[in-house]
Amino acid sequence: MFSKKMVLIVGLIILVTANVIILSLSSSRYPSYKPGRIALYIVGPLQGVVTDLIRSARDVWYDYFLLVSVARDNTKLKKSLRHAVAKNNQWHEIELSNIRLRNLLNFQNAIAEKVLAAEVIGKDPSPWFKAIIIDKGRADGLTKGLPVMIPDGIAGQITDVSSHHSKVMLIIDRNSAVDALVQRTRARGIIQGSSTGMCLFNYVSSKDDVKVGDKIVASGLDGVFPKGQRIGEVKSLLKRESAIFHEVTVAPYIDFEKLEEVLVLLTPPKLEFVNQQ
Amino acid sequence: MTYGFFFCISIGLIVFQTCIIPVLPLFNSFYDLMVPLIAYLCATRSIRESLPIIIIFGLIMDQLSCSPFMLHVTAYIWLYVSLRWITKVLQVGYRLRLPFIVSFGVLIENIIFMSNIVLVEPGMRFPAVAARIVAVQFLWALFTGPLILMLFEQTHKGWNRWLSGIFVRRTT
Repeated sequence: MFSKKMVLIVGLIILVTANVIILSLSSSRYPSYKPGRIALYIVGPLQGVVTDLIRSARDVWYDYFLLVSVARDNTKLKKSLRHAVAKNNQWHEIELSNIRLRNLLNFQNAIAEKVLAAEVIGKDPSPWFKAIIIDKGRADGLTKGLPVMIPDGIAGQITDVSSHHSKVMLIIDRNSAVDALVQRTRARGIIQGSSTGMCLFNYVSSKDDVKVGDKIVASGLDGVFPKGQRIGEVKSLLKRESAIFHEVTVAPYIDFEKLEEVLVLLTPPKLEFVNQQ
Repeated sequence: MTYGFFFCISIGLIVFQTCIIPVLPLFNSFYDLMVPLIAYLCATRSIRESLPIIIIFGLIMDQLSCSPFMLHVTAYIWLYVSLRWITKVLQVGYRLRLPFIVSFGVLIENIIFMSNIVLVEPGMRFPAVAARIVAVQFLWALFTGPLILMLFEQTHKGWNRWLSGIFVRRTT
């Protein structure tokens, strides 16, 4: 009834349509699914071993082949260490008196959040998406959705957890979104990733005052990242007369190419956010 | 045994791509190493043998990346289909196809990835850096693709020799 060619063409059309539907459905959801977690179990330990080997090789290079400069540095450092020890003693005294005074005033401890340090053992295989694999997982108390940071600022969010490894979606990934503020003017918007390694600060009203060089911080309203954590700096700004929003590009403070260790915040401000609601 | 070989090779390629390539200077826009493997599967193995490997490692790549679910599987399957079609159309020997097959594969994969991004974000404009990524990957593939394919060929031969050696020793 139908020729072979006809069946082939119809089959191809059905296949393409099904493919487009599956991809558009999965793209609109969280990039995580349960059976695929097996990948982290299989590849994670190997990535850990290879990363350790690379780091050991690098350490050998620095420890043995650069010993000449190290010896020179050592003499200088010993001198400065003597000064530092003396200074440290002073700071220690001040710290002790500070603690006593704090106790007197019944202040709470300044560090409110519990953090866990993790090592980066792998990166996203595709240049179009930005994720890292870290060497801590469910066994260390990590769960999906926890924020990941370094002292420079916000790095990303955990999107998948296996027993000893986790996948972190970086803020420069196009699927990432962080509720943020301009520190100077408190103008609000959403920080989204782009394939350029920069972030886009979307939905900033054209009425709001934003300048190149402005610091962008987390607003805390997404219930994931703590309020006030640094994200980046406004790199470029495009103000169109008729547009409702500014087109703002933000350069993150973190150099994601050199990310080696991260901190996972074990107590995100989620509950606080829910209570506020 | 063929599955064992391709499983080990694929795992090795994934670890190399996610752990070693990011720390190598100049390699930050290197292409997906699964592309030459798919090209090799396309040239040397049957569909029945190739498809399970492509689907399993597509799923693993999907999980290690922040890409939408099934994107890598889709890209690899279409890549396999396209390369098979190109092989049928270009009636030239395997050796003559070597320099181009991986580069074509890299282009096809990037087109699929970019199509997905356009599908998700309609009206999205690709920055110049995207064109640079594709161009650099294409050039890398043009120069290193044939070498990687030859490496697969030699490793596969070595694997088969090693296995047949073991079987011969056991039977005697």
